[in-house]
Amino acid sequence: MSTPLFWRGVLMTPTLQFIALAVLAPVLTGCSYAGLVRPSVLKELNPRVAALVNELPNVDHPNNHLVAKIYALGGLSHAKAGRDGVMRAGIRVPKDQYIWEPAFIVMPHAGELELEFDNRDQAIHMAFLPSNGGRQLLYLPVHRRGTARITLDQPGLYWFGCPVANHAGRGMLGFIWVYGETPKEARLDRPPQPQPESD
Amino acid sequence: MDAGLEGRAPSVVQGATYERLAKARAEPQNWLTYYGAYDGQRYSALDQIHSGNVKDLAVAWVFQHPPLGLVSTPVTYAFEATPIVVDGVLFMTGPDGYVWALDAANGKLLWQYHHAIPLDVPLCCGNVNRGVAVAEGKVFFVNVTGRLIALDATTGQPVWDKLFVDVRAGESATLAPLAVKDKVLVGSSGGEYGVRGHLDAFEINTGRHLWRRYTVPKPGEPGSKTWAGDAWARGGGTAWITGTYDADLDLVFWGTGNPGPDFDGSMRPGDNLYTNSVLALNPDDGSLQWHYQWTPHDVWDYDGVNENILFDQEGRMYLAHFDKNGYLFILDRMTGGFVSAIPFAAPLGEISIATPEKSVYSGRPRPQGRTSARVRPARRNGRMRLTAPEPGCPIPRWWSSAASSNPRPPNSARACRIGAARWRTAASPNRASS
Ligand SMILES: [Cu+2]
Repeated sequence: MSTPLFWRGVLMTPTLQFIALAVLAPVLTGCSYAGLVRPSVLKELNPRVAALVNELPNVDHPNNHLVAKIYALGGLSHAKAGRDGVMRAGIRVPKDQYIWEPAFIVMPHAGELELEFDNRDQAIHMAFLPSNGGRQLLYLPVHRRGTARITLDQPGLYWFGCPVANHAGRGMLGFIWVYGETPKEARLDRPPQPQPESD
Repeated sequence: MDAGLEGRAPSVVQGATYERLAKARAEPQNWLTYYGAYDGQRYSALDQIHSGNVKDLAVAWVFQHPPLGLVSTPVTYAFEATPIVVDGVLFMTGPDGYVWALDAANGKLLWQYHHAIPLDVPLCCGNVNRGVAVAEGKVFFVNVTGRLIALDATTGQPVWDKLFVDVRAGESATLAPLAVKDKVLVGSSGGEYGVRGHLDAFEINTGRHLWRRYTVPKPGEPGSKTWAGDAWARGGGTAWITGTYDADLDLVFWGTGNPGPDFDGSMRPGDNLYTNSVLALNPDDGSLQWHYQWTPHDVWDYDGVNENILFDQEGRMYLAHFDKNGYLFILDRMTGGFVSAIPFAAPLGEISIATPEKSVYSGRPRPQGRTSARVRPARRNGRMRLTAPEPGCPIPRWWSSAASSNPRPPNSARACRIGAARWRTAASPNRASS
């Protein structure tokens, strides 16, 4: 078989056109969008989800339908572990948005997390954070940075927020996802049991 | 939030040795264990307050701690802890991972500890905690994710921390630990989530795990024939209330909760040992010395974890237990032998009571005719009516099977004639949750 024929054949099948588009997508639009063509994401493209996503831009203009911003608007970031074992991530407060950017921090496992906050807004904010021993409150004056180190030892979903003047209700609510398994010594002695929603 | 926090408490717990805990009744100014003393009697020898002046009691101080931000199951966020008092310092837990040391005289916060609790912790029943144990300079508590945490009683700083449940399996923890000799004992919660209940013991000073005792036997172990198929693996029997202890017999008496699934017995034919039971355990290795089951094959969620109260009479050593099945049981606590069962409330069904003549489990003769608790579901408007086969007894509606409605207490706890005693009570059912 000859090379030209092969290429002609490729370009004629819709499936492979789609793959080519998927490969080009990151170049054209940035890497985050490439993930949208993953089968797990495409599987979620049901009418319910489409209706939700279509509604989001409408509600996300303060004083249009709501005053609030959407909690997830700031996006997601994975904390990276340093040589000292401490995981680190940065969070900005953009100007006039009342959001955390990113709003979701993923910790690959339980442990220590250092968060560097950068308040680029013209309003005062605070970060009210979960941590073992006691919650931490980090004061973030206008155009200032601040660092907090927290410890979370249990996999699960934690929240943080700005307690100033209901900024949390307006969109400054963020989440920390701690990934991980229950250690073997704390598990029940029994055959594996079916878990809801597990594949 | 931390305004006025001293950050330090007087080092009163340093002197809380086992010898002192064992004689806690001799210190009526203190409340050193969950029940005030190992025997579970909750009796105070103080006489300053009595029936003549109790009406004059007034609030001296209030310590308040509202939920902050998002908490798991906020509707059940409640204080269920017994305060522990050691020489003027009060140790107390709140829901959602909080522990406080307060000046008992004025309520001033001396230190606070908070363990971060994830929002997604599976709580079968309530975001609650029942308090601390103190011993050897440390304050012990569990959080809902099932960590036993030892704090320095003076500073509130953690000394050691051990995970003993699996939240992925639906387990949690809510009880006040029990410090006995050089050990601290805890039990699991989550009986409505298809778990297998257990107790664990840790070494007081190091946190080393010493033993685990499952409350539901696996195939081949004693009692396993009271389960069918693989029902044991989700059999429940969680141990979510603190046990009592007899130093002379060196036995710990611990209650176990309902079998799982709770209202449907069809998946677990049999007596379902050791759910709804008292277990007499050797605290050194967790070995089972004897057991007694209050409600075999429970289909009412009677959840027989309630305390086992130790008392002596005429030279004999007894154990008393008021069960949610409506009977007060008296046992010989050396042997677990049955002494009597007296109804104190309207029983919700026919309970098979093990006596010296008849037993529901091996070792003693079987009862004539099997009279395990039965349920006759009659669906009306989506609700399941649990009916008591006992003639002449009220038929209370207990829990509704409709998930949206609230738990329903019996319409009235009317007197019901069973056996010799006839009692009337207006007591409401225990709404405490595991
Ligand atoms: Cu703010």
